[in-house]
Amino acid sequence: MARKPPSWLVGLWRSSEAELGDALEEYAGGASLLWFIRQTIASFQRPIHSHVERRPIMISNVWRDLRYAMRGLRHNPGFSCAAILAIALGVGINTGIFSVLNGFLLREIDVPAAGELRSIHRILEGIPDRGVHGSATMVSTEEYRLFRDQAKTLSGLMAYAPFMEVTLDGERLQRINGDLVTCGYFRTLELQPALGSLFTEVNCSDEIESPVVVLSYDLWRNSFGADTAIVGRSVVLNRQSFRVVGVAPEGFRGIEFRPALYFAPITAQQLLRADATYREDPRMSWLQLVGRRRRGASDSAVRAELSVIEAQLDRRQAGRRSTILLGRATAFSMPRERGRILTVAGIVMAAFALVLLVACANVAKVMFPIYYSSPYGGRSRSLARSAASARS
Amino acid sequence: MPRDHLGEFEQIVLLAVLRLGDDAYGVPIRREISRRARRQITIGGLYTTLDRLESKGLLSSKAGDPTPERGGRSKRYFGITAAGLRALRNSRAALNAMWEGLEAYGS
Repeated sequence: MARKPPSWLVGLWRSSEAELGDALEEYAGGASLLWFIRQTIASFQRPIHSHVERRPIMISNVWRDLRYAMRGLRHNPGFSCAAILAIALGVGINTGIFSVLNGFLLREIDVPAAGELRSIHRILEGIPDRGVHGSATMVSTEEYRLFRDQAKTLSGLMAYAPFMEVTLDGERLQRINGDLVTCGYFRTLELQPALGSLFTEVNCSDEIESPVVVLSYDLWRNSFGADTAIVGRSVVLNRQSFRVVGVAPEGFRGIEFRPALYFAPITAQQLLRADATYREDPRMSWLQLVGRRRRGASDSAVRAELSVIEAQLDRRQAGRRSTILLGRATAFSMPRERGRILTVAGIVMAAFALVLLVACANVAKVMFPIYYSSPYGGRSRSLARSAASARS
Repeated sequence: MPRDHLGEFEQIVLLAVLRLGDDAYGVPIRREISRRARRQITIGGLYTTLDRLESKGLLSSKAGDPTPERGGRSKRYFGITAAGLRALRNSRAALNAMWEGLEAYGS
């Protein structure tokens, strides 16, 4: 049995079968593996001779095509720059748009078992005096409580009002964005504090003497120097003193696309914005609902149950009609706005994909004549040489 | 300069083929060059020259039978043509003419 080098190494050989046969014979006769590898590498350097038999393997052609392409690019720098720029622009813009879309709209929320979280929206019709702060598909405080108390297909239901910008007193005043949240917010998301505790029912009661706040990890590190004694101390938001009960886990910045730096109970709404009475107003849509499916509960079961609860609300007010919308919880889950952005982004991406296609078609159109007629091209030179040898 | 001027390595390869006669294929050609001229060359390097000499009409080649130790691949046997022999003689004559009168430096 003749000694043979590994077949994958043999597969890399680039030049003719006779040369490979010589190399295998030498190897069988005792040449080292290192010698065979060096011969294989040297075979990459062999010029293309059309009259010499070629190895019928695809990788060899790919390698030659690559070398040919590099030669072509070197010899036509202006054209190469234009082609590369057009393709890079098309690919880059599409990738950029998709990255933004993915970051804002498509990615799941970064919490444990995020696949079980559902954004709950509702389309309301027939009630003209409805107030809206945020999106018309949000719910009022009273409606949230009804859903929370009656929904059995959800193991947890929470609500939050995003984008509550406040001033934070400190060495310098700064404006920070945060969320007003219900007590079940962190429990539904199954998050554990980095420091102190997250909200308990006591913190959310209307009768508490001093309001409380949970800081985001980023705010705690950047504005409070990661002070481990922060729990129990007070911070001033919109000139109101809030007692810090804990720090949210590292990396958690709320579930909207705009990072939340603090989390306060919804009971603090009027303290932070004295001119608004969102919380007490039964006709104010201002809370976004997010629920966690109970084990074994399907989306259709959740939707059916929530629709039954919603029907109770419809009966309380003449002319009120509503439809429940249930979707996987993602950042920026509001259905109408989301639909609009996805449509616009889809059109923009399709337009740039078309530009990319046109660029590729133009490059191909310009490349093909070069491929067959360029005085520099290796293929045409080989063709010319074989034609000459056929004549002689 | 005659059209069939040969480089040094081309002369070495042609002479090796001539010496080996009917057994002139890649492996013995490399061995002959290594043994006599003390030059280590890669297989690709040798075949580049062999292909060039063949395209000049100084060598001819034909495929032999495949063998197991070559992974079933045929040997490519080379033979010198009349033009190859003439080119070798011309090259030797040119060198001899240049050495004439300089024998003292050649030893």
